[in-house]
Amino acid sequence: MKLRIPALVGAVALGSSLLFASIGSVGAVTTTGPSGKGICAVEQAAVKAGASVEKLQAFGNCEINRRFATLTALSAKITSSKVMTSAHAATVQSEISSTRDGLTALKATIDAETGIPALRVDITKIATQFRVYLLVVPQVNLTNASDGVLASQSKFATINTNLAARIAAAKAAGKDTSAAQTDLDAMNAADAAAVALASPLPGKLLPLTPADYNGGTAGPVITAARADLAKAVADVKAAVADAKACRAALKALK
Amino acid sequence: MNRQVSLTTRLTATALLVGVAVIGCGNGNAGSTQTATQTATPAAQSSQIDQAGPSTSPDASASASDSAVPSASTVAINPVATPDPLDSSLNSVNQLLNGINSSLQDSGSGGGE
Repeated sequence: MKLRIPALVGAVALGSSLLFASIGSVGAVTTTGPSGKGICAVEQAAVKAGASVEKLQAFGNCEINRRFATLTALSAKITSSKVMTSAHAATVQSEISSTRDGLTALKATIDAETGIPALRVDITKIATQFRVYLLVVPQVNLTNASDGVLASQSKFATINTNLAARIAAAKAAGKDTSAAQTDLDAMNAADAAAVALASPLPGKLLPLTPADYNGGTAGPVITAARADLAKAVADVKAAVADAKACRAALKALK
Repeated sequence: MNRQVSLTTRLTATALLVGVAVIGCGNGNAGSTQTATQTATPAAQSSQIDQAGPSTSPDASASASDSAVPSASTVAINPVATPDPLDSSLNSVNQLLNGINSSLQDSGSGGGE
């Protein structure tokens, strides 16, 4: 019988790890592996050892292909997202589609190129004309995160309704519900703060273009959005803690 | 003849003594054996609970749940818990937080330019 607890703990731990592993893999955009940095290291080293048209074409095609893989992963993430609004999803899917078209055209140019200087210029364009990793990836992920914060609003509305009803019932029973009400007010304030931080972000992020990035205006917007979302996450966590405190305060009244 | 009678008598006497001894021993343990049979489950439970000690209430409830006759204390230990709907809402917020954090992590420029 004593064996049951360790066995149970082991089973729960294994189940939890599998659960968390499966949750963690959903929607994650790979930044290493097939679409990650360094995947074209062999081709790059070959070019550095002595440039030729063939080596440059191989390097260029590898860099384009890993961007294709990243765009495919991003597109899948948008499709599977439960929080991204349909309008935002349509915008970023369109951007991904046009980026893919542009890279496909550039690949054709690279494949047809015969001179090394021209190939070097074309390969530089893979990064500068599309900014897949510095612009598109942040746009998609930060928009998704913003919409996630906005989606928390309806969850907290449900929680507010639930806790407000409990407070009303306790008050009707003659209990002092002031502490619970303070916690509930704090929850609503924290969620409102999170929503206020996240709401404007898609409107700032989605219009950004590779030209904006190259001009130096997109980078600060992305950095600020990331910082605002970090604050919003902290606010949502605080709201969860406030909801739990409210419930605990009500339980203490019984 | 006398020897045969004597041997038979001895054997009979020995058999009787053994029989009396067996019956005597049997009667001596009869009460506890019967009690143990009748209350096998509670006795087993209590001994297991005692062995497990006070810090293993899940173990105690597990052994109780295995028994054919659940005790009143078992019912008290495992009341039918009604899930709090608030937990479901809070869990969904936590799931949202996980997704938001994942997206924030993925928004980095780990892939290069």
